[in-house]
Amino acid sequence: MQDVKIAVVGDDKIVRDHVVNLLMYCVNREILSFEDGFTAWNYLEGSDSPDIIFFSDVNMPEMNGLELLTKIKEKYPHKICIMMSGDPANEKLAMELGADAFLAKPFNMNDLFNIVETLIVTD
Amino acid sequence: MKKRVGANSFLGKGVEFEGKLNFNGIINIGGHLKGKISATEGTLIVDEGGIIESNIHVPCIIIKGEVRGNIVADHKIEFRAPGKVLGNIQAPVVTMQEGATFEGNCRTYKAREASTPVIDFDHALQAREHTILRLGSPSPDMREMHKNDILLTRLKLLVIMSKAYLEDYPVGKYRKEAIIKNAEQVASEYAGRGAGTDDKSRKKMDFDHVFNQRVQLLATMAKGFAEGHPMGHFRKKALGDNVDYISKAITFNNRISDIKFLKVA
Repeated sequence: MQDVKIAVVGDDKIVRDHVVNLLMYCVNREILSFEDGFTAWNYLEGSDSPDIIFFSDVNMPEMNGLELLTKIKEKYPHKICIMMSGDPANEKLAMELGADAFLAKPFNMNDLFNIVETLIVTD
Repeated sequence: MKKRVGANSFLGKGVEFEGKLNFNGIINIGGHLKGKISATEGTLIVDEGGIIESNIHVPCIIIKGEVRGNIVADHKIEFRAPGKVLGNIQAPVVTMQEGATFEGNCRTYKAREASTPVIDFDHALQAREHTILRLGSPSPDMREMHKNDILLTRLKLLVIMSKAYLEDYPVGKYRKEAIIKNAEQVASEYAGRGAGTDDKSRKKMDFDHVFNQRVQLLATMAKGFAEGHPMGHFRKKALGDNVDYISKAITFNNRISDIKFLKVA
C-alpha cells in the first residue's frame, strides 16, 4: 500500500474526525478528509494519485455516498470503497452498487481494525 | 470417531475429541476438539478456554474460546470477548463484542426463508451468494453514532496507543500526530464530565472523580510520549498502571499483539 491514499468522506465532523484519527494511527500516513461526496469526487477527478481507498458515509448533502460509490465504480471499478451507514436499507444498496465493505453504525474500534487488516494492510 | 449428541451437551475443559461431531440442540465446548462439526438445528457455544480446530457448519455459534477453521452459520455468528477465530466466516448476521478477535474474511448473505438442510461445508462456501465484507452493528441495532459512542472508542484507542508505546511498537510521524490529537480530544471531552448515562458499558465507567483524573493523566502521558518527552522507568510504570486501571474500569482487554499492522510503521 505504498502509494495508496485513504480518504474519509462524511458530513458528521465528529464521526469523520474520529475515523480519520484512528486510520492515521493504524496506517501511519496522512488521511484525506472530505465533508461531502461532491468534494471527494472533484478531488478524485483532479488527482494524479494512483489509488485512493474511500471510507464514505451514505447520508450527505450535495452528493450522497451511494451516488459517490456509483460514480467511482463506473469509472474506477478497482478502487476500494467502504460504505458507512446507520440505516439498514443502505446495506443492500451499497452491495448492489459494488461496495467492497459495509460498516454498519454504530461500529467500534475493532471493526475499523478489521477493515484495515482485511482491505488495506495486505502484508 | 463419529459422535452425535442431543440437546444441552457439554465437552468439558480438559477433554479432547477428534473426529466428526454432529449435534442438535445446544452444545458447549470447553475442551479441545479436532475434526468437523455440523448441526441441523441448535447452537454451538465455544466456551472460554475451549479450542476447536475444525471447519464448522451450524445454524448458530457463540464464540468465547478459540476456533481455527472456517465457519458457516445459517443464522448467526456471535463473537464474545475473549473469543478468537482464525479462518473465514460466513453468516447472515455477524456480531462482534469488543475484546474478541478475528483473522480472516467475513461474508454475509441473505438468510434463507425455508429451513436449512445440512449440506457439505465446502459446497456451502461455493454456493453462497457472494457479498461484501460486513462489519459493525447487526441490522436491528443500526443507528447513527452519538457523541458518547465516539468518546468511549477514543478512550479505548488511547489505551491501545499507550500499550503499543509501552511495548516498543514503532511510532512514525503520523502515528505521533494521531496520538496527540486523540489525547487532546479525550482530555477535552472528559474534562468535567459527570456520571449518569443509560448505557451499560458506560455505567461501569461511572465517571467518578478518580476515574476522570486517571483519564486526564493518561491523555497527558500519551501526549507526552508522542511529543518525545523523556519517559524513564518509573514514568513508564506509572503509565502502565494507569492503562491497567482504565482498562479494568471500562472492561477493555484487547491484546495489541493481535493487531498485526501496529508492528509496522
